[in-house]
Amino acid sequence: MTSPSNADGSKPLLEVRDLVTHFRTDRGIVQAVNGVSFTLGEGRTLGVVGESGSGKSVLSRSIMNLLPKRGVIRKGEVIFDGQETSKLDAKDSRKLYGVGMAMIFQDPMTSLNPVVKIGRQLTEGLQLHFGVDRKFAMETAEELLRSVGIPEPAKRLNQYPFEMSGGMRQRIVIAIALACGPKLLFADEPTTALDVTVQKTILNLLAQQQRERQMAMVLVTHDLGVVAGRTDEIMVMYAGQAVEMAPTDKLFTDMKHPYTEALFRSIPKLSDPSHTRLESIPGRPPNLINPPVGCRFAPRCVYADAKCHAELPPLTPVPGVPDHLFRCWKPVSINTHKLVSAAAPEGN
Amino acid sequence: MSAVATTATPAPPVAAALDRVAPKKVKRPMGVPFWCAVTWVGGVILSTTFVTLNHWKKEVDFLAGAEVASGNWTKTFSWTHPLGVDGAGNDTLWELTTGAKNSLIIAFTTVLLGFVIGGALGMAAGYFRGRVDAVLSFFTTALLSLPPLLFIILLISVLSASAGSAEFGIEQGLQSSVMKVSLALAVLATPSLFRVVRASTIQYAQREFVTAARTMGAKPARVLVREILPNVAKPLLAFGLVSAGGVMVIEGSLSFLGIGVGAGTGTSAWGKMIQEGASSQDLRVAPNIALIPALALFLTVVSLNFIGDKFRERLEVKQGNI
Repeated sequence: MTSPSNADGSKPLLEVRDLVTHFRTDRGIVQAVNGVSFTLGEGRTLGVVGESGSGKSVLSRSIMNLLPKRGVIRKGEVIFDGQETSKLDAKDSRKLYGVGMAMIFQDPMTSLNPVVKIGRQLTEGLQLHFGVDRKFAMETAEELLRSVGIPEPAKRLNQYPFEMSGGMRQRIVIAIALACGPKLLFADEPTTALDVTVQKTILNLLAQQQRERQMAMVLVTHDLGVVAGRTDEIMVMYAGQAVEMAPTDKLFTDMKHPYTEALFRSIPKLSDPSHTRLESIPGRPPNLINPPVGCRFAPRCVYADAKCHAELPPLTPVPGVPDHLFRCWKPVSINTHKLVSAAAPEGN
Repeated sequence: MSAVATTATPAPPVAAALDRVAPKKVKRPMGVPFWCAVTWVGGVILSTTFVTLNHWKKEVDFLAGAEVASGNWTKTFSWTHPLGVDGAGNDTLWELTTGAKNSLIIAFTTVLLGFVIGGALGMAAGYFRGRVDAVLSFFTTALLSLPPLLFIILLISVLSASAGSAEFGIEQGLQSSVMKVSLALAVLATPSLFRVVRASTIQYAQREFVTAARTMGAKPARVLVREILPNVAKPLLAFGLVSAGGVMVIEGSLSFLGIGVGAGTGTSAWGKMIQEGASSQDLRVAPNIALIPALALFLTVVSLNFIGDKFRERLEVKQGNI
């Protein structure tokens, strides 16, 4: 099931094999992530797309092993830089955090400590991992803030998060995550809580930093438009499973899964006449305690037939295209070239 | 699309213009009553240090004491005795300030001890949850279910017995009685402080910045001390001040019952002073003996509560801004 993303010869940095993450609740076991596998090469970007409750946020937290121990069932392998992370003890896995992988959270209002000054929040990781002195750490922090485009960085170091706007705070969150030079960055919906006007600058900043640092990135979002021009590969998730996985250009030109298509159709397009009704996906994501027996998207799928409702389709490659995987009995085959070019202005 | 992604490099000034600038925080005045309360508490603290520093000796004025006994208590107010004397001729101001010293030491030692013990346990319980929480919560709930007054009396007598009264002189006896009462009250205060700290730790432990700290490789101890403690500590300052007021009231009641500070010795305590002036005859003949320390206690407790409330208000508003 592993996608050969390192066809370009780059070394795999992160390998996730059959990752399962279930939560024990009073009402039953919530199957949040169900057997997800992928490979990410050094310096490459994977976009994880899906609507709320598709398990995409749980996926990134599960890979980083941030979920609580109690009530969580976690299976499968996560191999980072040649190391099986679940075999590391607490001390060694802490050494990996910040230096190996880091994470940017959705809401900069909650991911910064409200009562701790920016400077200390930035330097904490540096002092912890590299044992540098305070003065050197502060100088590095100032440099970091400058690199993420924050004016008057020296002044900002002495301020508290509430003294800054949302866009500023997200820049600071990014600076903190980048402080120790991680090889892999998880960006968990980094722009969802921000104004539309700020979203693009933050995404560009992430792309720029990624290029400069040769860093791999997992960009989690519910917006196909966000990942369109910024990722090497896209994984579409639905109800805890990968339903389609392909290099970005292949996915956009030849999408196979009806869910991907439906997501794509629900992006508003500038070329549409005004007051055009936006297409939405009818229904809601399935209950993850008792997911449907067959294809999990079948109840909402316009193409579904009896087989779809009865049998779960496997993740298989498109004939002749080994790096394009999809999970469907009745794949769509529409040429979306026209749609792509029409969506481009909002896509970026 | 990809062309934009690879060429767009936002220049800092442009980015700054795009980000909205957060409005500057406006400071609201604390108000006159707040400063009155601060002045009163500050005055009480200053007066006790003044007494300590100047070694102001206790002088018994038998003549003035006799005036009190004959019902002319108003005549005892003079430059030498600004607040009068009691029936035995003890200067009320002297008694009041030495009493204040004991009361304040007890109040703040108790709250400090309670916060250190209850706070540390509460943070551990709130952060680690599970078995740690279950065990700690069980013990603190058990402590809370004991009748407080009986519990205090029991604790003080146990502490007195173990102290071995014979080997201590009068001066040490005083110190140990202050210590005894502080310790006993701290044990009594710990469960409720534990609960408060545990509850706010649980609340903050689920916040994203704690997860964010963990993604940077912070150990649980580091997360607790550097991420959660600063958040928990500030609102607790307010709670601590209010608790200090409460402790003063309990300490006063203990002295009143004759088991607090200065029981059986010449040491002064507000509760003891009230008790001495509260016998029915004294209260009619010389109301100043009981009422002046009662007023002092009342004003101090009200002031502490008021300052605590103001702090809480201020801190809550700030939380809202965040």
